[in-house]
Amino acid sequence: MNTSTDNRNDQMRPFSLNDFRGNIIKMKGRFIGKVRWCREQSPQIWQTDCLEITSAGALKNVNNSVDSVSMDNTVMSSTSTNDASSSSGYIMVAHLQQCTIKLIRWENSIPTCELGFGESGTGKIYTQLSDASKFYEFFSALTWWSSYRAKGLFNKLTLNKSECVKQQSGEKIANLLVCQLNVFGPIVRNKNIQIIDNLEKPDLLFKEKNMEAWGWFPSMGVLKSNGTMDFLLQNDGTLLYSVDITKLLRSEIRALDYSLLMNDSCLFLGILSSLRNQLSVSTENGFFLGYLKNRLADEQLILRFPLKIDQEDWFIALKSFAIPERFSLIASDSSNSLRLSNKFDIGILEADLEAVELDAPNEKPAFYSLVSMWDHAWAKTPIISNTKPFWREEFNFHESLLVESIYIQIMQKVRRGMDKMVGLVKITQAMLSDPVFQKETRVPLYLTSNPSFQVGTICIKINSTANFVLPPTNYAKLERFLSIASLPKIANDVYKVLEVNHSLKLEEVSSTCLDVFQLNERLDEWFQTLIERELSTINKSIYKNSHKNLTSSHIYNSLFRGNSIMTKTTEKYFFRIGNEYLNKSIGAILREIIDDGKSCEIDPSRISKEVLSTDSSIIKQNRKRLITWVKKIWKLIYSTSNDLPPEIRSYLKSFRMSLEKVCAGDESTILNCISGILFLRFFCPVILNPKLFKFTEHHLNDTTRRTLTLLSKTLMNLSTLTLFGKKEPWMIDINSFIEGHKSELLTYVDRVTDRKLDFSTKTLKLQSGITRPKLLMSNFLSKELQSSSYLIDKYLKETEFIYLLNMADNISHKNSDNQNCISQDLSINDITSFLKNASSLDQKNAQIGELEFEKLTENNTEIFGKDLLQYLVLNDIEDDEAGKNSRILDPTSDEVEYSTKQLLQESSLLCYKLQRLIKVLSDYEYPSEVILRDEAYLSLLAKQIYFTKDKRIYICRNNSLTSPKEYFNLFDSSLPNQDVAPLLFDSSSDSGNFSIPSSRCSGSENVRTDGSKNYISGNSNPSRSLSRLTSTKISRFIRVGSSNNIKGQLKQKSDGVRKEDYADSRTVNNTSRKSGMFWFMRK
Amino acid sequence: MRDYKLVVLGAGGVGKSCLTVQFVQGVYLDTYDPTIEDSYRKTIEIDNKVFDLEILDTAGVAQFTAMRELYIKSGMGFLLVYSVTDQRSLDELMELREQVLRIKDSDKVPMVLVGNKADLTDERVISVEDGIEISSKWGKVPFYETSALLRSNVDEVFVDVVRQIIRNEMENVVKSDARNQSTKSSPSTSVGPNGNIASTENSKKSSPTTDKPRSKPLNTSRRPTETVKTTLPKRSTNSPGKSSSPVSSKQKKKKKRNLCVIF
Ligand SMILES: Nc1nc2c(ncn2[C@@H]2O[C@H](COP(=O)(O)OP(=O)(O)O)[C@@H](O)[C@H]2O)c(=O)[nH]1
Ligand SMILES: [Mg+2]
Repeated sequence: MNTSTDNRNDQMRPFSLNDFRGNIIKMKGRFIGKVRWCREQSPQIWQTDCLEITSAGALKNVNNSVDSVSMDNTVMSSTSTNDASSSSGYIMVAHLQQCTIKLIRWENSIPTCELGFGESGTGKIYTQLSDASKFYEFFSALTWWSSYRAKGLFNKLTLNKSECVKQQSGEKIANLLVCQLNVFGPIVRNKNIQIIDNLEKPDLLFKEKNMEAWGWFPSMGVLKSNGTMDFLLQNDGTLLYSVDITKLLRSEIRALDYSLLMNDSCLFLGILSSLRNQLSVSTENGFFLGYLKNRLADEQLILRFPLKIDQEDWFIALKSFAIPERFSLIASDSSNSLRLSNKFDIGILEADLEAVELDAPNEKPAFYSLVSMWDHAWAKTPIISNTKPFWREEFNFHESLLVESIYIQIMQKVRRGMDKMVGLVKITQAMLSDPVFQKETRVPLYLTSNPSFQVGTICIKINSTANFVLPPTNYAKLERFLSIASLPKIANDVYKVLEVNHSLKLEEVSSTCLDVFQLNERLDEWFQTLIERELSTINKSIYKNSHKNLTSSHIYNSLFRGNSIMTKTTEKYFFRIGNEYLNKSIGAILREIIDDGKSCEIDPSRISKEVLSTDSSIIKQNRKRLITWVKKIWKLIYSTSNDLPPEIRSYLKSFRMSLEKVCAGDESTILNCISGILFLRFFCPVILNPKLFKFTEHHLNDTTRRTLTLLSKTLMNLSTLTLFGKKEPWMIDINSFIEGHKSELLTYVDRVTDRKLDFSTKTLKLQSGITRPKLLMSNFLSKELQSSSYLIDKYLKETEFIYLLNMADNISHKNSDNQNCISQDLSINDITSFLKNASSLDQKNAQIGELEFEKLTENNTEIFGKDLLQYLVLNDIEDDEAGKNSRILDPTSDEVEYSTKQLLQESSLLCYKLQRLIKVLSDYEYPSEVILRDEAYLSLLAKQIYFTKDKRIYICRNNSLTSPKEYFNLFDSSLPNQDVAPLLFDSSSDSGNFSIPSSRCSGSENVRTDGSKNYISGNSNPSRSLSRLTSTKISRFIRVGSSNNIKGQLKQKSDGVRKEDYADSRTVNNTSRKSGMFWFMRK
Repeated sequence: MRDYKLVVLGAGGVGKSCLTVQFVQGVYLDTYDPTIEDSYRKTIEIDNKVFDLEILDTAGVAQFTAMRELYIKSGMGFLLVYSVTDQRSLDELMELREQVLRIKDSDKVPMVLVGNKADLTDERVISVEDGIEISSKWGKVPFYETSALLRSNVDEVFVDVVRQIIRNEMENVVKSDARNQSTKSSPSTSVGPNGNIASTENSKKSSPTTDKPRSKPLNTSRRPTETVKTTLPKRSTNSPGKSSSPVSSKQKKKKKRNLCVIF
């Protein structure tokens, strides 16, 4: 290797790990010295200058020829600020972070170094050093900076193994979860596997259509504490195969939408190669272990659990072991990372496909649509035979990464063979948060084969909220205060915010509060607070009216009928708790009614004259049918009163007690209010539209819809004991039913409100009665994952809640002081404001050393120091004695008041922390003082440096994912001289003559063509950086007038403007622009 | 005879049903009777033409909104109702209107903005001006304040929507006429319910054929500017907005009646 032509042998010694560490520690990532260099644009013009790499990662030309040796001392002494060391000279590269390095053979064995830099990675500088040890210094400094990441929050993606895995090492491996389930996966031969044929094959989920050796089979799933999952044969317990969950990203474990397999307890596990390409993460190593390792084209499995609650438990458990997607800086405390919550609902209302050319014009064409992402379909609408299909489907997604592109594919059902795609809509992350799409929007559909040909339109609607969430430790103190704080005060704040801020959605605010209080076990109190609050406002009006001798009947008659926080929260809660009850009590009868399909029409004006005249008894027959159904439904409801979940019953009980305080003696009003909750908001919606609650697959036809409408009307009137007749005279004949069941209804209401003892037996087998095998698990689970029941993302909800409180705080202290508006424009769930703040980032703000800004502590006031404290309205920041005890059972009013204040303060601190983290993470990454001195860190970093055959240098920071084959460790521990890096070229070898001018394009171009080849769909341009999101794309996120623009363009549907409008946004999400920290390869 | 489908939309308890029943049957219902979905038929005469109306009264509860898209698709004209005693109910209309426009895929959908329960002066939280403001934000959608209880402006809101539907149809006929000028001649125009266009234009401005003097919407709507100037200044002196000062409400009513504005 070092057969050099040069005499000075000591200079030609190979580059060793010690050189690397030593150079960094000595120079602190800096460099100064004479370098021969040229730019790409002018390759012939080589010049020799004194170049400096500054402590802020800039490459400077300090041409006034400073003697490098004498500079060394100054370098060491002046590290405090970015540019103190040299005031003269000009900057050649402002930020070396994430720069690319490629070594090119030069005349002697010391290579020419090709340096790629800039946002698009297109800037190029070539450098040559004549002295090997100087070259090593230069190379060390470049590698050092290359390992730091450029601007842009999403560039700071960090993929480390889950804490849950580390925690386990060394301990005995235990079985955490065991479950009998059905698996869709490769069928192992020569084992006695019973293949299940009657389950629908998840074709849509797999790219590969060639799946002969795959199928559904029953198995015993065992999740072990080291993060592997075994699949055993159910009859004799032999191992079929195992998979290593710790190899998966959290995004690669997915709960499957009901629509795909008509089942809501399925999970998907598997490598999503196009997702990994998007992240520039290796797809080379799969997660199958044993003999199937690296032998499958698609490493994917579908698990189908017997119960929804099993699926929920497994979902959390599996995700706990998978690699979390976090955003953080090198060596910052783990409490200072962020995770993204990227939630969106895609609604597909209808399409107009009249321009679709049909192969068989006589046949009635049938269409459905698919929502796909990362080359997999994740949701599907039903098939509808109409060229103007009306779907009205909504699909929910909750991602932890940005989504490069989501496709809505319109498929035509083909009788034989594969269904045909007739049109396609691409949705990008930028479009998700575009307000234009928050309302029904008609989007042009283009032919897949001919993208300029519009085949029709599709009407979609997107609801999207994105948030960043802190790690759990940050919320500990908040939760402590939350457990004591005064709910009436919080309710006041929430109502106030809603009143003032009209952009907030009642629904979202209600659900934030519901989740936060449910998870913090104060939900009963919260409901009590809401009920009393709303009743007291009403009470005041009634009092006023009676004072003036005015009637209040209009108040009594519209009690709890509008949408308020209380009614919204209740609706959501009842359905969450009671969904299963509803399905098991009345689901079957509803399906029976739909299957029966016979008309129950009793409105003569809706029956055609001919039918009426030929069959005079038709109305009588229909009425009889209607009454039969409604009696059946009522009987089911009545007889399962004891199965109604206890949470709902206890709610109704305290609701009734509160009502009785206000309308004492007015039994009918009390009944009305209870029915206004229980029937109007719980039973009737499901009866009216079982599809919406997934009780049936298809939309109803007109006849059954009408039947169900009549049924819910009847039930509603029964529930308030209101006779028909005044509005719709033809309903009068139903009154006998109401009169006949009056006493049953009253009994029922008394029972479910605990007024009368309920001796009826429980008849339904509900899962809520099953205790979950949680105890063993809980130690192993990741705290930050959704709380397993109902899959609520606790810390996300608490983050939303913080913003809510903070808004209230800002409203009540309307200070014109600019400094005070910590989160004035942070609306709940609103990524735009996050990014707005991140974009207004002041470069000077991020100083070296800022990264260590916070050591882990639960006391946020400590963290922020004085600069923040002056923002706080609260002055009495003492040590939180009250907070130290875990939960005070009977807090005094002082304690309550104290905690309430502290809660508000803690909220603003957390808001501030979030914003500040966002800001710091959006900036360039800088090394901290601690790291610069840390040998262990440097050794770790050295292990992450790789090179390719053509001597491109890669730094792979995500060591949880193994490296691809074509990459070699620079300091290869498997070789005998393991700490020596093959940096120098062997001058005796004949690998061609690289003179700069001739090879000037080779380096980077290679990277890029290689890269795009590896993109499966080929639609992504890997040359752009995500970091652009925080710069250019932000302008789109921030709606500044742009929405109008887009709206205008949308109007011109036919001329394809829209496509172009988003054409550039699709490249945004790509992190792979250079090799700086990621790489990707496929076999 | 023409069949027109009207849809009444709005939050729960704002008085959609009371308004509809008052219009259809002339009675005021005061019961706790949440609507799931009611439909009514009524035949009315406008400008000597007879129209058959089918009115769909809908639920205000969110869970039923799954049906809303269907209602909107089938409806031809819309009454967007809020209660002047409930700020939230007006806020909810914003989204609703947007949805109507989007699903109808047109920005000229026949609709009126209705502020109901205007008789409840003590409980009022939304002033007339607030309503006018919204209506002008909406591109001068006709705006009325109504009281189902007092039967004021009830017929007017329904008739206004019907007129808008008629006008829309006429315009469409004109458009398609212009397009087909050479091929098809005027006979097809007479399909329009009101005879030729000129006569509708006239009837809009003059000679109300209804028994009562026609009241105008509280805003300028798409008509000439007559009302704004007369109404607004007096309003601002008369009604001090939300601070419902107990000025004798009857007196107030009379004054306003003179202004062709019901209260
Ligand atoms: N004072 C007054 N009360 C009204 C008026 N309209 C409706 N109400 C009251 O509001 C209640 C609810 O009305 P309803 O028509 O059922 O509301 P809907 O849900 O919009 O259909 C009725 O029972 C009446 O007491 C009105 O114009 N004036
Ligand atoms: Mg109603």
